[in-house]
Amino acid sequence: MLINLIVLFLILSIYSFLYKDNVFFKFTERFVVGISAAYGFIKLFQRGFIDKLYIPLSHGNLAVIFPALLGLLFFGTLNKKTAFLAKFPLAFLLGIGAGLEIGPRIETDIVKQIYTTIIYSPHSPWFTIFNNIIIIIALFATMYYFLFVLRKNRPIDRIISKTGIFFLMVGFGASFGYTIMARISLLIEVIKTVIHFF
Amino acid sequence: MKLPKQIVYTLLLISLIIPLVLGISMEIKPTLPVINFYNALNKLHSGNFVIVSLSYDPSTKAELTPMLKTLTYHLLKRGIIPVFMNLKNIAIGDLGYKVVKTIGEDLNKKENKDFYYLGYAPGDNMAVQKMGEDFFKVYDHNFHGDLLDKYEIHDKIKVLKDFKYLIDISDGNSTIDYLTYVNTKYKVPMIAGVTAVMASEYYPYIQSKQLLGLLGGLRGAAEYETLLDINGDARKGMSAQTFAHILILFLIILGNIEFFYFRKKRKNGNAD
Amino acid sequence: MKEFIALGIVLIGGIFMAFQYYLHIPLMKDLYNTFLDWGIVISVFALFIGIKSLLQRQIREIKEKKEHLIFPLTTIISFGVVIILWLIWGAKKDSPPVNFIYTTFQVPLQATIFSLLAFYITSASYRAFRAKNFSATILLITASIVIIGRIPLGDYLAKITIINVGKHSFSLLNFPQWVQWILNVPNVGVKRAFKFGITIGIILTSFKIIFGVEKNWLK
Repeated sequence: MLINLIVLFLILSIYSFLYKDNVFFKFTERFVVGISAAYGFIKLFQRGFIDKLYIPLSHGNLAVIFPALLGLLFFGTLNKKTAFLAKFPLAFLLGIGAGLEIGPRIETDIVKQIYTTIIYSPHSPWFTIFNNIIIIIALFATMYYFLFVLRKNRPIDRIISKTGIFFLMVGFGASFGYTIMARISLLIEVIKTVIHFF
Repeated sequence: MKLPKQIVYTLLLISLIIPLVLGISMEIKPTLPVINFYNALNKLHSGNFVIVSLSYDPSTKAELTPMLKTLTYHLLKRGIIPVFMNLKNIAIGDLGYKVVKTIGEDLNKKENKDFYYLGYAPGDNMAVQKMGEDFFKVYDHNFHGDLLDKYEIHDKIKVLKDFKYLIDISDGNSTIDYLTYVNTKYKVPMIAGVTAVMASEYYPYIQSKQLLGLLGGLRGAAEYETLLDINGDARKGMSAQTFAHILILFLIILGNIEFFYFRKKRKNGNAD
Repeated sequence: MKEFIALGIVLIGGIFMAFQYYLHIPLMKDLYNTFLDWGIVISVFALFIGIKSLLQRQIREIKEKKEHLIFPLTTIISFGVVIILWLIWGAKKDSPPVNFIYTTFQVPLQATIFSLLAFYITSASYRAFRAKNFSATILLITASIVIIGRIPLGDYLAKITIINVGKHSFSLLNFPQWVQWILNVPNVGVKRAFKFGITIGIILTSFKIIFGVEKNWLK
């Protein structure tokens, strides 16, 4: 019961921010940051250091030594003189990260998306064809609006740009409606937690 | 005259508390992406393995934990073997485990036989791709540290492709990462449950059939509960959601009435 | 020289990983697997750097701003207490007090901090969501349709406004179906355009990093 009262007090301290920034809010915020970071640290230590380094090494798997040494260089940032050492493991992560991204990303977000936009069965019902045409217009007009920002002199440019804005607003409207929904859901959960206390 | 923000906040709280206290429930009609999500899982047979990624943290649990609960119930009830992992977020580990374990116990299902909970592993997208090559190089033991080689999963699963589906319960961009590295690269079919904020982003992938089903926000979770005939957290929450949405609509209308009234007044004032 | 080595690592790692996606050579596969193994181990250290930075910031705050000592101290003490409680039970095992703190404090409080947004978005809907011009009106109408269409009220309105015309029946206020149409058609076009833009940006940035054009990370 006492614990519930403490949590309730901390919840109210967070909501006191709605009135204005204050000591109670700041305290709770920093407290949450501290315990969350500690939890992250613990899991990372158990799942990272112990599972990926300590256990393999204790089983005589020496393959982890080289990446571990490279990883240790990250701690070069503790001192200004050795800070450059951290760039080597970072270079490795950045390099392979960037390389891994290229192929599958092009296929997922460009090739497959273009394919679905332009290919559809000729036996589709009329409303599918109608919807596909609207998707193509929305796609083209939105891209045109963003890509040809400066060339808006000719009437045709203005018409396409306006169409682009129209579809953009529909897209943003849908996202905004959904965002409202998401935020309210978060509050519902907190209220349920508080009701549960009593 | 404008409503002070304190009044707006109080109205919002009242609109949420009343339906929650009274326990009002409302009818919800499932939409196609949710029906597809449900049907995708119904096509599987007992003993099939699916991998479920919990890619969220406690801040968005309001929307995603109801999905996780219903999903776990659905899979376990059908005898499908879910393997839960949280590669993308450290902070969900224990919360997710508690949810899964409770439902497993309710249905008399055994951990490490009827379901597996693996927890966090470092490496993010690199770990995802490593699982595509050799699953047990990333996860050789479960959440409690027990080695997996003594369980059935070790015989049935070698790589990600051995899972029938990857199901991502996500509050961010992890579904796009999985689509890129798991669906495109390792050809594992995918379905997802995402927060309402992210839901509209994923419709292009539904149309291209890269995502075979989608639960969007609390409403998506409530529709999923309706299909399984469960009166769970999401359906209970939807009544409060309804009242809050009506309040917001009322506030939008009120705000616009004020805006046009004052604009007209200003114009008239200028004309005089 | 230091810069040269770092750029060399990026170039070799990047080009190799980009090519291995298209070329299926066994030796490349082995090297790809080794690089992934290394990357996973290195990333463990990278994540610790994040936590180190957080603590360093608190210590800096203590040194610089003495009047607000309580706030950075709160973070450090709460961090320290959880770590000690964990170590008492043994580094490898789960610690019941840590789990208790996580379930009782971290989970509800993180959710509460995030839920502040509900108040702001409600207030913003009232204060800023105005039909000032054509674009704003379209945004407002679409958002309103989504707001109604995604709640049970939308389903109810669709049900009570069904009319029969000959053999067919349709609903006059079918908000849920309108929402689905907005999401499946115009929204798909717009979001796809964004995706093309973002993906081209990601690919170009990847190339810039690999070929050493983008060097901000070296500073």
